[in-house]
Amino acid sequence: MRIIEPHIHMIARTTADYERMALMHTVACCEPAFWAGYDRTSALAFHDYFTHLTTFEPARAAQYLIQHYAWICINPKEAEDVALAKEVIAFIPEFLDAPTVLGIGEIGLNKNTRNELTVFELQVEMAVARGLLIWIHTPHLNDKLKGTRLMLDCLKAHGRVNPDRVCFDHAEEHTVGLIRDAGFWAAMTIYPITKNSPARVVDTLEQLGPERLLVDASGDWGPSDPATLHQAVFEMRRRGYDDDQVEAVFYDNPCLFLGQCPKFKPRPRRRGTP
Amino acid sequence: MSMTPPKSGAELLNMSYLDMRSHLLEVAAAFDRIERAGGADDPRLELLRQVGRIALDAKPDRARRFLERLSE
Repeated sequence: MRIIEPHIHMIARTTADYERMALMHTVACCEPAFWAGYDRTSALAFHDYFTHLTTFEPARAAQYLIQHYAWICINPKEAEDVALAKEVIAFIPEFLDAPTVLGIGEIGLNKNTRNELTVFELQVEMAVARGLLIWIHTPHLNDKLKGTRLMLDCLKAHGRVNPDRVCFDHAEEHTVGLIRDAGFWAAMTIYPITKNSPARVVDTLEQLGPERLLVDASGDWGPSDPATLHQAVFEMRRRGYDDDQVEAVFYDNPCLFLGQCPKFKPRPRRRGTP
Repeated sequence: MSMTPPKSGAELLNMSYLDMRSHLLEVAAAFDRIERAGGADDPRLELLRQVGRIALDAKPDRARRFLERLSE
């Protein structure tokens, strides 16, 4: 069985995690650009970060036979300073042609402010103009429902955003239906405390079906673990699903969404599944 | 399209009974701990009581309603 990790911040993880992921049959992982745990002090710090994501991490992952892909953007937690965001957005195109960059992400909202929405819209425009995939961060905890609705309304009103090419991440029971009903992909993140548990992810798969649904561990420097993705694999098998059904969710589905970017090399076992 | 669960309700209860017991017990113990320490004048406690009632009610979609109640 092969597994694809659609969202993980390997910059915050040790090489031992690459080894664990490889031993758990992860063949590819994707790293969206995000907050470092502190606000960066200049646009150049973002330039260094994007260089790291497009050079060092693919080489480190390759030692464990894992393909590493990246998404580039100014993240929502550092989008309140619109002037800084515009400085960063100005050099993002330098990185978009890198062989492992899949698109713009993880853009989105954090506290649902007007400035965050402005920076979100600027980057959506960049993605649409260049025909790129978009990976979206939805806010945490109490702000999630409102932020998800704001971004859905924004993208629907845009008129030129193809929902097939956009994934909203960190969805939970109260947002996953809204996202998919609007035609977008949804991703569910499994964290030890916040976000989803492995069992709740499998509950959602059972209730809403596996179409346009991804699962990730979103491991970073906080309470998180790459193995939570594999705990969901185990939960699905424990409930009696066969390997074909499991691989359709954890391998084919990421291939179907991410494979819309020709740079993404893994191919689904069956086109159009599940 | 939803997926038909391969296991019966009774089998799923056997799988999750100890987890459910453990999580509910942790909530009960945490309320006791806060109360023993003099309580807290914090609206989050009432919110937790409200979503606790949702978790234990007899209507469907408890997880979704639980999260909606906690949303701004």
